[in-house]
Amino acid sequence: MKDAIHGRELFTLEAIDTRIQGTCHFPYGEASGAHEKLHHPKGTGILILSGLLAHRTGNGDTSVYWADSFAKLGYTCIRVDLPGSCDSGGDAPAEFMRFIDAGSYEAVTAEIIKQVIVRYNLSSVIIMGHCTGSVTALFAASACQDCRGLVLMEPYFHMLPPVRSQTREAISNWAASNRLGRILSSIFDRLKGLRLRLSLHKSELPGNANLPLLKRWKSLASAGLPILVLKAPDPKTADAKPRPGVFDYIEYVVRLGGSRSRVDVKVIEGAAHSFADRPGRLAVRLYTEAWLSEHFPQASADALLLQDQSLQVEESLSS
Amino acid sequence: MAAQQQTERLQHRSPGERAGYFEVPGAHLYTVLHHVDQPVARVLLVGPFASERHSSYVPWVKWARYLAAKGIEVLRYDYRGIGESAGVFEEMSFSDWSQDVHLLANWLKDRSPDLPLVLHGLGMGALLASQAFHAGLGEVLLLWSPPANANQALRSAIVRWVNVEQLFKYGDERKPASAFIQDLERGSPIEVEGYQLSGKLWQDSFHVDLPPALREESTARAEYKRPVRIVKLGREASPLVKAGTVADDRAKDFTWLFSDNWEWIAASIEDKVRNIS
Repeated sequence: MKDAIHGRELFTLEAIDTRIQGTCHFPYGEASGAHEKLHHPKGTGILILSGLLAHRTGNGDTSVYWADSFAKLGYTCIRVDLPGSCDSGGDAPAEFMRFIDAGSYEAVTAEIIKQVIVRYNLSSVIIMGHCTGSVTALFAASACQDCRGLVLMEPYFHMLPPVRSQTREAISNWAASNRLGRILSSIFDRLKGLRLRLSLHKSELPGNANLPLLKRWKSLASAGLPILVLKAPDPKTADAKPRPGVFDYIEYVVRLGGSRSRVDVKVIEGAAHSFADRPGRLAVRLYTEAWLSEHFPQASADALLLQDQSLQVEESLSS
Repeated sequence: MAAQQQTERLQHRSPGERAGYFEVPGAHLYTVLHHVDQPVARVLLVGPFASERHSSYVPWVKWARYLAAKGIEVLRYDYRGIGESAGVFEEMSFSDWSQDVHLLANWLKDRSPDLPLVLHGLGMGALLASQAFHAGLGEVLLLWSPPANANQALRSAIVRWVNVEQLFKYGDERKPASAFIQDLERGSPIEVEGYQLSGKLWQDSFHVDLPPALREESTARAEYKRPVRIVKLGREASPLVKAGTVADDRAKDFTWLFSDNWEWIAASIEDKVRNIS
C-alpha cells in the first residue's frame, strides 16, 4: 500500500482531537514529495468541502474532478472528510442540520486550514463548499486569517428543517407528476408568497433566517473578499430567483455585501443541486477557473516566488 | 520549531485505520485497512457500486469499525474508476472490478494465511464477492442483498436515481426509468449521479450472475462446504441500501444489523474467537 500516486497523496492530521483523513492534489500533477520543490511555493491552495456527510470525493466524484482540474492549473487542492464523516474519526452529530447551521465545524475547519498551510507550503487558501459545506466554508472563512476567497455552491442562509417527511415528499412528487397537481402546487406557491410578504412587513428577513451566518457573510463580503456563488436553478425556475413564495436570499446577501463587495453569482442552467452531472460539473469547473484566474492568477504566485527568492538572497547576504 | 511540531503532528497516523493506494493493472485502488493487533480473522468488504456508494458510505465504515473493534482486521476499498480510486469509470468493466476482488483477497490472505478470510459484499459487491468465493477465495461468505445478476443491480440503481430526480422535475421534464433503460438497450450511454453507464456495460451486466448454488444458503453450504450467509436488507437498512432519501438517517443506529451478523461471523470462525475471549 502506498500513500501517494502520481499527482495525489493521502494524508491524516489531528485537528481538535479528531483524526482527519484527506487527499491532496499537487499542482501540475507533481509526484508526491516533489511538493517541497514546487514551481509555486507559497501559492494559493483550495480546500474542498462536501455537503452533508458525503465523502470527500463528492457526489459522483465531482470533487475529485474539480481538484484534478484546478491542480492542473497550478493550485494545490485539498479534500477532507470532516469529523464524523466517512474516513475521518469522530461520530456524526445527532442533529446534523442544526449542527451545521450553528457553524459547529468552524473551529475544526480553521484548524485543518492552519495545518495544511504548513504541510503544503501554502500562502493562503480558498474554501470551496457544496450545500452544507458552503455554510461551513463561510463560518470557517470568518474564523481564519488565511482564507482569501470563497466558492459557495448552492449555499443557503436559512435554518434547514432536519429532514422532509415522507408524506411531504410524496405530496410533492404527486403534485409534480400531473396537471392538477401542478395547478395546486402553483396555488400553494402563491399562498406561500402571500404569507412571506405579510411576514416581511414586520421584519426584513423571514423568521428562519440564519442570522449568525448572515452576519459572517456581511463581514466577509463587505471587506471585499472575493466570493463566487454557484447556483442550480430552483424547481420551477430557470434563473437565480427562488421558486415562487420563497425569500430571495441570494438577492439579499448580494445587497448586504455593499459597494466594496466582490461577489459573483452564476446560475448553471440545467444543473441539479449536486452538480454531479456532466454539464453541471463542467460549468462549475469553468466558472471557478475563470474566477480563479481573475482573482488569484498564477502570475501572482510567480511574483510571490520571486519575492521569496529575493528575500532568501537578501537573508543569505545579510547573514 | 512550532512548524516542526506541527509537521510531526501531521505525520501522526492512527494505528487503527490506514488509508493507502493498492496497485492493480493500470490503476490504483483506494483502500482503508482497519488494522487489528493479533486479529482472529480478516474480512474483505466489497462495497456498494458507483452511485450507491455515496449514501451508504457512512454506515459501511461504521460496520468496518464495528468488526475491527471485535478483533477482525478489515480491508475496504473503492472500485477501480470510482470514488478515491484512480482510473476512468467509463473505461472499466466487470472483469476489472472482479479482478480487484481477487487481488485484494489474495493480498489480505497473504498477510497471515492461517487466519480465516471472510468475503463480505453488499449489493453489486455481494455479486463480485460471491464470484470470488465460487472461484475458491475465502473461507466464509456473507452476502447482503445480492442481486441475481449485475443487470438487476444496475436497473435498481437507475430506478432509485430516477425517483430522486423526479422530485426536482416538473411535467414534461420528467422521464421514466424505462426511457433511460431503452437508451441503454439501444447502446446509448446514460449518466446516473455522475457515473456514465455505457451500452456495453449494460449488455455485459446480463452475463454477470450470482453462482446458482449461492442463490440459497442451504444449497450454498452443501455445495461449498464453507459457511455462507445471505441476508436481504429492507428499508430499515436505509441508507446502507438506498431505499430512502439521501439526507435521511445519517446518524442511524445499525447495531441490530451489525450484532446479528457479527454473531454469525464469530460462530463461523468459532474456535479462533474463543481463543481471544
